[in-house]
Amino acid sequence: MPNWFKLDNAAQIYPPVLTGQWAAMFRLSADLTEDIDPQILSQAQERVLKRMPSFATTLRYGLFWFYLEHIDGQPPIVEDTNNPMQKINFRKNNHFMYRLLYYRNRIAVEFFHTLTDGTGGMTFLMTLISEYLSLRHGLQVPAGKYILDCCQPPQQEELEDAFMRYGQNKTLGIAENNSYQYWHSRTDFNKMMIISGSVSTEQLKQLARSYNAPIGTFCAGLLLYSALQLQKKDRRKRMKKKEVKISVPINLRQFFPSRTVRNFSAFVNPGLYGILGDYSLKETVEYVKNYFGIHVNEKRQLAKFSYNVAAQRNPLIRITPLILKIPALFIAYFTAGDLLYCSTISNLGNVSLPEEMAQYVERLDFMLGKAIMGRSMLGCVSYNGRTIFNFTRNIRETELERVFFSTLVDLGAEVFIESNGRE
Amino acid sequence: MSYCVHCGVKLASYETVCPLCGTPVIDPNAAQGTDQPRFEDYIETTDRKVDRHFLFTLISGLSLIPFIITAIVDYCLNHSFGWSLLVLGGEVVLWAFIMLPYRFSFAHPSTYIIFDTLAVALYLLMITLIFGMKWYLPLGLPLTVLSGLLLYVFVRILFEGAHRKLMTFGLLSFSLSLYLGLIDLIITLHSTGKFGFRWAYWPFVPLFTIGIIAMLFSRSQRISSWLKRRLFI
Repeated sequence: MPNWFKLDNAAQIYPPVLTGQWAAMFRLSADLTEDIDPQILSQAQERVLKRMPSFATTLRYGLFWFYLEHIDGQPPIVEDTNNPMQKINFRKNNHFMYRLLYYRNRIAVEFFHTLTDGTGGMTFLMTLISEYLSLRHGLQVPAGKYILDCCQPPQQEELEDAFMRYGQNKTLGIAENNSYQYWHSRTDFNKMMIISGSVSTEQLKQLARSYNAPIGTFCAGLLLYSALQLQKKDRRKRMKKKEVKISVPINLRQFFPSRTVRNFSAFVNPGLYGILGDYSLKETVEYVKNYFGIHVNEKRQLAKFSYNVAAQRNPLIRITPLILKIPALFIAYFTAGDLLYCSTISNLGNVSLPEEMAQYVERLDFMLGKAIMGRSMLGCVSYNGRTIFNFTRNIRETELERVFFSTLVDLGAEVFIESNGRE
Repeated sequence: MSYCVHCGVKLASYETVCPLCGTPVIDPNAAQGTDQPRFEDYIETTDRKVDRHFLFTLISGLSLIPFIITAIVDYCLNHSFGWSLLVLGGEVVLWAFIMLPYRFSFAHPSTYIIFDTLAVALYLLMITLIFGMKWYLPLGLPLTVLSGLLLYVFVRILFEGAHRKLMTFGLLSFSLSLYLGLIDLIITLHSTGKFGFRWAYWPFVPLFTIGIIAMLFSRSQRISSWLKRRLFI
């Protein structure tokens, strides 16, 4: 295995916006049926890092590009906190770019987005749990969608930059309008507010079916609808005219077969102009469904991510020193990234685990890290008959969450809410 | 198990207010502590403060690298230090403009202008000494001091007279007219050897007049209120 990796195409954007206090992070956690033994977890982690070497890396500066360099050892296993996804202190974390935490019966992993995306992260967590269970209970969990066999050596295809493998010359410009941004006041810098809502997956499926849409599309439509309600109450004239857009990550593995555990996802930003009139939930879901029909397909996504791949392959860009690329990418992140949406919904879908393992895993959670700008982000995952919506925010206002969940209640769903407090 | 009376959601038993709307949870029959809090109490803190002292030292140190390189090249080519000192001077000026405000917090921002003016004046002196020029005392120094003085006055006026807009505007216009007049005077004296103005009449007269009128008007409540009525945008 190589002892260093080039950053994948999507990962390039995150290191330049890494500051002393902020990093693009996300978190996956699993609640087991029993309390966690950190020593066994440490042994499991050691085995997983050998199987998934792209996670045993640290970020380094090259002359022209950032790169990932292999490091030995493992990050310390620490107790979970009230405010997850604070920027990793790389020095305290033995220079690893993910953090492993535990709290009672929960194992949580917080990833710096340069390392992997949701699917890769879920593969890491599930493989870790299968190893943990095998060490603790002698379970033999068969390898599957999210579980790698740690007895096997790492596979080259799991470490590939799938963007570069599939990227073509046919590109599509990515210019888009900026989105409406809802009014907010920031919380204390160290706070990370979480509202976790749990809904029966069956109930949600029936609701989505009544709107003639899959669950993911229905949830995206519901979030867009909630954001539209916020714009309706907004008194700022300038913001009234703006398109309300949300960002929805797309797992590209569904169109381009790849076993990579590194980043391989793209974004689409469906949006509606609230100034055109009141949109009902049905209209919003219908619109999002049609939008996905147009934008979320193989050809469109290929042309879109090929644009970034073409930029990375451009000889002029390649020979530009990293010191000049950093400010350019920093500006690009804000102008072509962060301002294009007012919230994000990332849905990992329904996760099913092998029966041997499922009996020990009670619940899965997926959370998105703090945005640079003040906003709420939604991560959701379905497992064991429940869909968990985790809203994470760095603002005081909870109106988006309130509209989202109370609309679900109005539609007849029973929503169970937990949080880490209210500011 | 409680429900929020406002949102209709079911709440974990440890929630005392609805996390969505802030409505207090009042349920006398609720069994306390049946749900375990999902989150630990411990809040991890990230030190938001950048270590300014460290960055100041680091950048100041790094800025010496271009000087060292140019000094070596200069010495190798000419066996003396000449033009490479210009690099040092330029860096000192930049340092005074950027690093000084970054590291030291003076009570009033106008203090920085004194240091900036001093740095520019010394840099110009260095240039004239290296190249054996004679324009420093009659031209370079007066123009630098005058420009520094104008900036100093501007900053003081803007910071201290912000609440009296018409008076501030009058003072700015008045001091700008004096500045341009003196600039013309110095340049004319240097180039012709005689006291006099060549071009400053044009900006001086309107700016001076507007400045005086604005200052006078600002003293009259009636006129300033009339001006506000007539000129609002």
